Amino acid sequence: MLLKPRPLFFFKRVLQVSLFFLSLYLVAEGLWGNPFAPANLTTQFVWVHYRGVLIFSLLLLGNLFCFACPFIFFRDLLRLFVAPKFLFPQKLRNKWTAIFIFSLMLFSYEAFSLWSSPFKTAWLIVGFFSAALIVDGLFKQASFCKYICPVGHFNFLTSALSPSEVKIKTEQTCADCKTYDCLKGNADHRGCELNLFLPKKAGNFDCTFCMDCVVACPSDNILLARVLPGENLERESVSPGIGKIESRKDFQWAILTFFFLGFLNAFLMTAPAQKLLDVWLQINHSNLLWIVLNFVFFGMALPFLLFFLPANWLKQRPNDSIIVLLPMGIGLWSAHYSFHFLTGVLAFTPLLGLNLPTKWMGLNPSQAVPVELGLLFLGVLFSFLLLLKKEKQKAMKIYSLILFAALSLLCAWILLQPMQMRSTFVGVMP
Amino acid sequence: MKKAFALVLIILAGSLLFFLKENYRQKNSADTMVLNLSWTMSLSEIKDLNLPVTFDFTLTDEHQNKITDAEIELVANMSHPGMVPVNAVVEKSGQGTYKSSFHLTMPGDWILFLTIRLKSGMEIKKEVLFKTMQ
Repeated sequence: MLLKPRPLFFFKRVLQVSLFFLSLYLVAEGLWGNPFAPANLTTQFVWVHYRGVLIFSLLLLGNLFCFACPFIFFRDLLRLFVAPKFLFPQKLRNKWTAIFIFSLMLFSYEAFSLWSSPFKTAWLIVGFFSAALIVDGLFKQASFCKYICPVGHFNFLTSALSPSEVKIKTEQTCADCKTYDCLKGNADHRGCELNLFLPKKAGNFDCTFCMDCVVACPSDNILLARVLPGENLERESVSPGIGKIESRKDFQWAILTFFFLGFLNAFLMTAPAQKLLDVWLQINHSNLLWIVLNFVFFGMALPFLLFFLPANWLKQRPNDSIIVLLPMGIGLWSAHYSFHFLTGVLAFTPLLGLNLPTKWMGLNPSQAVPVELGLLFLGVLFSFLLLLKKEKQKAMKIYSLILFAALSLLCAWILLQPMQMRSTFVGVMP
Repeated sequence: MKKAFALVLIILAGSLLFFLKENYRQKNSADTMVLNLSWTMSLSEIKDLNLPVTFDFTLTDEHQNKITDAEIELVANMSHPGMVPVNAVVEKSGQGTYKSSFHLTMPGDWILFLTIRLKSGMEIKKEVLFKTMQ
């Protein structure tokens, strides 16, 4: 056990309050501070530090950011005054909305250059607070977390490789339980708002590490335990409140979207992508159309062409091969985010009036490449090992091995490309 | 008790936002002096990052008088946040003209942040946008 339930819950509240006030400060800095991204703490913290700390904390600790979510803290405050009345619509109780919003967020990032605008970044934070309030103000339980939140879903997927998990201590205690407080809650504490029944829960999917079940359990039978990263991806698991992940089309597409849009997000930062854009702009002047086409191709066409179509030809199911693609996707995202984090970890210090030597502010981009390749390699290795173990269909296994090898090489190629920060002020030239 | 605590927090949050807005408003209204900055880049196309970029500029006040005795800090940074900034030395070369030379670290969009301190003690900030060519 990492921490006792009560101190853990108290620690969560302290983190939530701190992040809540930090969010308010970042909103103010973004709306009214320096409009230039590198001279503004909002853009620095949101697009460099938050993403870097997020990915490292997911891989080294667990879903710390859902645990400390300031949006849910604010929602909890307002729920003291207004209780939601409705249940989330049955037809929307799946991951399709979250996939759409996750794609929309990445699309907005590219199309509207969110990283270069403190003002837009501040409104993004406001948007998250508002969405959490509106959705959870109307609908009971943690509907925003389970069905909507794009950051939460990024965390759910990435926490498949986290070294910690909320688990029960002994099965017998749960077998003797008649009240199911971990799920239903009690007079003092709420139960799991994401409908995860702890005795049957497998893995970190849909778990926000909120610790509600931990404090609700009257037998003190739930703990935050250390686990082997990715152990739940290896076996077919049926998790309550989720079902069999391998058979759920929405989960498969969530993983495909996570991988291919992660690929696109990294690729668009490179010099070859900029050259392609220049070629496109000679044919058509719409930058927006270029981004739309990229998203349609990488987000929809490519996953279909590489997974569903070949599986159909082979008369086999792509389910297991898609699930085991997840670690490679995590490797790619962590490589990308670690680049920004490591190359600019202290680049914000001049904004605080500190004059550190330049070499202390972050790694040279070329020095970050080994770290990026190392993280990608770990993800690729995980995916290959899982593929060999999990995929039972022979033809699909051979095809997926070839496909994974090609995808790994493409990911490595992206990381080795010279970075070129994207055109924000096209037309403003000396 | 919980409700009272929640109310206090919400009021505190609102007050913090109001305080910050006022603070930024006062800060932003401080730089009011009109200052003209005419500038030229020595390279019309920045193609090779191994070569230094030289940035020469002239300062004039609102009456078009040359400003010859300003102390200037120049920091170049990318449009993407989190990139390590490039600090450049700015030298006076007479007649209100200033010269600086620095190396860019990556192709893409750049911003030059100029902090100009006049002899009167007034501090003015200016930003200049430019991009490298592919």
